[in-house]
Amino acid sequence: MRDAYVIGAGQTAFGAMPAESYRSLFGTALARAVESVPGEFDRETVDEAVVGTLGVGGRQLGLSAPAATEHAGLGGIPCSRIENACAASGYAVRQAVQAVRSGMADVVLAGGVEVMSDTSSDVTKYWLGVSGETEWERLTGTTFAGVYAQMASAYLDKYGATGEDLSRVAVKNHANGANNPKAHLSFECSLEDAADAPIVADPLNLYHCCPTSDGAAAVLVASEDVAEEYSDDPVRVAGVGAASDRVGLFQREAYTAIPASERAAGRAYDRAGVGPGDVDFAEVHDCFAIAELLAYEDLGFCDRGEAPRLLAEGVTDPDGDLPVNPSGGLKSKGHPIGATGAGQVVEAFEQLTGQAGERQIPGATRGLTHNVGGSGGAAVVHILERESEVAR
Amino acid sequence: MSDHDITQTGPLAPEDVTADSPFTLPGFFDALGDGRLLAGRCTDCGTHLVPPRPACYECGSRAVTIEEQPRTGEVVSYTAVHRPPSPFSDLAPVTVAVVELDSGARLTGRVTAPVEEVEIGSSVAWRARDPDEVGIDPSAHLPYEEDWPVHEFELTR
Repeated sequence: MRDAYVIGAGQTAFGAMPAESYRSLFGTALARAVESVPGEFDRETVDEAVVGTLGVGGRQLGLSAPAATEHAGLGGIPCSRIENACAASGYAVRQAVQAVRSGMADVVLAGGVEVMSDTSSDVTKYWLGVSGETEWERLTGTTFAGVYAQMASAYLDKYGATGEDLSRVAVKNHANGANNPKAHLSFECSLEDAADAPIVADPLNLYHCCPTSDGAAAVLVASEDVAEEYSDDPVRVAGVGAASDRVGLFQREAYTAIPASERAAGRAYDRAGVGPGDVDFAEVHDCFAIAELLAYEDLGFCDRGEAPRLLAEGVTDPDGDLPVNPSGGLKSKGHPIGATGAGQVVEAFEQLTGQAGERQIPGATRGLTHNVGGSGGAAVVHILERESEVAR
Repeated sequence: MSDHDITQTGPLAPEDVTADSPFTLPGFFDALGDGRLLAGRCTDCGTHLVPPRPACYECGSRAVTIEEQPRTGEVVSYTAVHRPPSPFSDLAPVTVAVVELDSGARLTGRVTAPVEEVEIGSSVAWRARDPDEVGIDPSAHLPYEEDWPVHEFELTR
């Protein structure tokens, strides 16, 4: 199989953007991805597009991909929507890699888009709830936060972790997001701010939950046969892993882990021929603070129960051994459901090509992205590397 | 309506999976309305499936049978949802738990006690109720769910 490379990636700012539509957001993300390609690149070169979106509010559930691509000057190419809840565009990137590796396409656009800020809180809760086990989790009166809160309760009970451990995730990710001009909540917060916030679902408070955002992201994936035409130093997709699991939390084998993440990461590491210790930074799916702690363990950054210590010791800070969520993560950068996974790859691309500005992790040559759908019903992990640096 | 056949064991033929079968949600909720909580049980690996499913989500076997479940169990994890969906707002904060029944089957549901009284390991018993008498706004239910009972857990000590 031939290799796949990321030759360009871009995104809109994430946030509340009442003047934008899903089409205008998608168009902006694509334009920025095209601009980011080092060599001359015409968007007509794109053979195919895969667009991740949940379709919050139901605005364009049918034919979302043609509706978005026609607006961006890509009319006529094969394209499709991919839906895997919050992991939609992580899976779109994976689909692009598959198309390129298989030889069916040379350049594929993997994107994602979501508009969430123009619906009422109730409507948003409903559209988040549709990715739960609907007959059961929805009719208990729980919410998406409530499902992750049950993971947090189980984790705190099992390992003696505290609310402060959860709050440290918010403090770190807000500090990172404050350096990200694309972040939705680009302010810093103290441990006291994070500890004193109103409870959303015990033990999770407002600062332990990500915002709902508008935004789009786009990633251009090219085959090894053509990548050099556009970039002297493209970013190689070294490994991809994905897995699914039972949709309902209560049906799963573990509550203090996300088994699909662990399986997806294992596959990605195997295919890339590397381990957790070989990764310079990671963008992980911190939709709720507990999710970032579980990610450290599911991705093999530390043993079970050790995530709070890893965080408290600063290992995952920007100047630590393994920076996590330099972008600010879902917590601060924002979480426009369908755009999140591709947005993580945008951050990895910028880090690996030295374009991350104040967030730049010096010498970053290999990064990992981790995107989860629902409360763990789907997960996808990418390992991306700057081949020229890795080979040295 | 209590003519559902709870002796069904898979693999099921497509024509066996009717609205009377507990392998479908109408059949399952019909039984729950009669006070019987039915789980699928994989005869190959022992996994409980609540509600019953025609294939085991642990091992993929279709040799799934139906087992009636006990009323009592223990809280495995829990939360109180302070900002629930609006049909549940009269009940806020809504205590929700995952419960492991004495059989080993797990299911999630609302707990009638305030969250302060609940902990991991708390003993509970489930009961099925008419959604109207619980205080849930009927808009929570999709049209095909309107006749379904809701289950809830009570602390037993």
